Amino acid sequence: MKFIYQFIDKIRIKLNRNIMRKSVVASLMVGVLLGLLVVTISLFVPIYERAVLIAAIIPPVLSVPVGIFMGIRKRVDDKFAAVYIDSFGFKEKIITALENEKYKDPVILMQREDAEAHLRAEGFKVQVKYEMPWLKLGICFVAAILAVFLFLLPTNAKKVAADKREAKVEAKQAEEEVKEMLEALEEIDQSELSEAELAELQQMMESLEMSQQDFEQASSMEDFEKAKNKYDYKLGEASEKLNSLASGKSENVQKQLKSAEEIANNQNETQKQMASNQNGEQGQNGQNGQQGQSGEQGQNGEQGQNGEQGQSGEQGQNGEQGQNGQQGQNGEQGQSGEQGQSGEGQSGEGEGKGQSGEGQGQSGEGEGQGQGQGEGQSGEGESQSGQSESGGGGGSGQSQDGNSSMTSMEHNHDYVSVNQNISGEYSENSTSQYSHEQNGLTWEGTQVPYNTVVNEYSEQAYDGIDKGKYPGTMSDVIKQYFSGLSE
Amino acid sequence: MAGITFDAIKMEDSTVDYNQAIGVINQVRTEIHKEIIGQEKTVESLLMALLTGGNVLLEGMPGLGKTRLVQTISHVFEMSFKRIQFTPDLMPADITGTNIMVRNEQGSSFKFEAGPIFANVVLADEINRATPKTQSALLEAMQEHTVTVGDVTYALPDPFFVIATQNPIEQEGTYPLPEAQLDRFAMKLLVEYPTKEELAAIVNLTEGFGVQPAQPVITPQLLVEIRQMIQQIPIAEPVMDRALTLVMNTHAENKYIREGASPRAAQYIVRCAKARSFMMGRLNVAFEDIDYVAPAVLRHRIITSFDAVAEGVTPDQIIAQL
Repeated sequence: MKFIYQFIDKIRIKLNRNIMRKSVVASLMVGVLLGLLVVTISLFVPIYERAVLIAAIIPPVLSVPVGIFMGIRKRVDDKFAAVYIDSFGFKEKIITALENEKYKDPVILMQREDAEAHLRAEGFKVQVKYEMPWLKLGICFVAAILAVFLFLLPTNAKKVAADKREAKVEAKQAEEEVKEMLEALEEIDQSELSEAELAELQQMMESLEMSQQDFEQASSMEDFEKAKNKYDYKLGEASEKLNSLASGKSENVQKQLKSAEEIANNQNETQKQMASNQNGEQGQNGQNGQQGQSGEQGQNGEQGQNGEQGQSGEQGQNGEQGQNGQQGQNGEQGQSGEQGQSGEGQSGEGEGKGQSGEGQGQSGEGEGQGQGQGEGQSGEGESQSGQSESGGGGGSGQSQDGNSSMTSMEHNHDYVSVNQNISGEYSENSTSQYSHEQNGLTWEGTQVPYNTVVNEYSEQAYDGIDKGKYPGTMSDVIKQYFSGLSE
Repeated sequence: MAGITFDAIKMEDSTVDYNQAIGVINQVRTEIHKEIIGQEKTVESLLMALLTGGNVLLEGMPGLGKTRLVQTISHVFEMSFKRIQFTPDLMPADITGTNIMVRNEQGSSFKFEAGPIFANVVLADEINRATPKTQSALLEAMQEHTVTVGDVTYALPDPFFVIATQNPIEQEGTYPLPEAQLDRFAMKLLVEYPTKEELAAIVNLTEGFGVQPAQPVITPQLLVEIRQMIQQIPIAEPVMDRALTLVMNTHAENKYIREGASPRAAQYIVRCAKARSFMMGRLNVAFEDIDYVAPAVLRHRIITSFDAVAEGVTPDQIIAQL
């Protein structure tokens, strides 16, 4: 009987090896095909690349232990091996001997001897063929290669996925910043603030919270950029308001307000730097754009930086006016955009056009129309649009001194709780033109750049949409309109 | 034959060992084929039934040697043989026997006059020509090996076999055997028409010279001993499982089967398979034994549906698909 046992053991082990091989390969094939399916889906559905990679790798990796587990579960026992041996012409002698090994009856003993004798004589006939499912293995191999190929294949869906992912990461970071800003605002001691100031502060916080929601809901870089633009603008506004609130307050409150203001400025600055880093090319573009204008504008390389700063409206103006400083040799005027313009206005001389402004300023000629910021600032103007395109070209921030022939529009708004008269005109080339009927130091109202106006309008419009002021069907029209303006 | 020789281990109270028993069976075959040409499968199956104590229903055209086969077997086994020709007017008492009045010095008394059923081998020729009442007279004898007349039960000789024949074509004036009766037959064997060569041998055998008649080679007592040996042949679980699966499959959804086989079918499959393995010189039952005996055991136990009859599907075809 020992011989029979040993023989059965040997066959059983071989059979189980075959089963294990088949099970693992079959499982691996399923895993690889699943991976391929995931990769194939990612060609059409925007899924984050890393998630695709993980989802595609997990099934094949898991399939191996699953296959081993299945192989263990399917493993055969001695009885199966005995029946297998019997299939080689032993007419169930082996299985009968195995099942009755405990009994000592004469018939059983004879049957056992008979089985052993047959096994010794004809055992060589029993063979377990080495079975490797080559076809399945081949399918695994081909599917794996195909999956790698498809994974590396660039598609629109992958670009969209990358964009979404980037937007998500950026938005999360931005959310943190908004949170930080909100916390700083919440820490301000409100006891010294008037009702109007409190309302202003509350409005500021609500506005920032809305930005936080915007970031949360941003599903693409486009959404994120829009939200960021709005937030940048709000930061600038917040900085100004905090600055104005600080006057006449106790030292402690001033400190808190300054702290919040610093956070706003820092965030603004950080975002500009990020934009600059992320868009190195754009910086170069800015330089190129400036260089393309004139020799003087070679200095605009620096102004390109200004352009970056020009992400906030006023600062953009400053940037432009920085050019004016050079152009007009206006000294102090170069330090302040408004003054720069004023300078031109004051001078009443010459055209303020960038390239020519300088010369004209000196010559004292011209018609007193200051377009001095001109194209040299055009790069900055784009940066005002808040994008990495800062300094890149188009110049939405050009100013043009009042030309009486221009049509004017007047906008009264109460967003900053200060009545401002903004006169200007929107033109299709993204260049705002604003004019004042009166030039000089005493001109009325505050000069507001085009982008600031658009951003304010946009802000209010989005705010209105969020608060449900407009019919739901109109929200897309409104968004489309403002989106068109910002392009 | 495998020609394997086993150690001379005897059963308790047995006069022969396995080798001798297998040798005797081989001699029986040889003797039977002295008088029966061809019909190997029928002879093998009939021997299996005898070795397990089962009754057999032979179905075949007239003149195929059914009666001769039964006579030869009873002669080779040295068993008493009675033939009953079943007719529509045959009464149960004509088979079992009856009490008759006997007059002697002390007066009159009843004495049981045994019928032809009191024999080792009873040939119920054209059993389907008798009425169901008469057919049923065989039920107790076939199952219990006893006959009850009045208040007295008489034991039949051991071994006892009923070998019935029926004609598959002539249906007029016949009474199909009831299911209960059919279930008592271990096997239903189909006697095939001989081949041309076999037919020539049959003609030469009966019309020629130098015929060697079959000789008795086994006694009824030895047959009983061999039957006990066969009962002890082990059957492995997978082999048993195949037999049970076959029977269970007759109860599965099948448009050709109206009623499946009874549990008695599984018993007879296993018994007959053991007998076959023994006759093949093995001491264990193989799958092939199950496959060999299954059609003969199941074919009369499956009640075919109207679809089967309409489409001409035979029980053997149904069994082949189980």
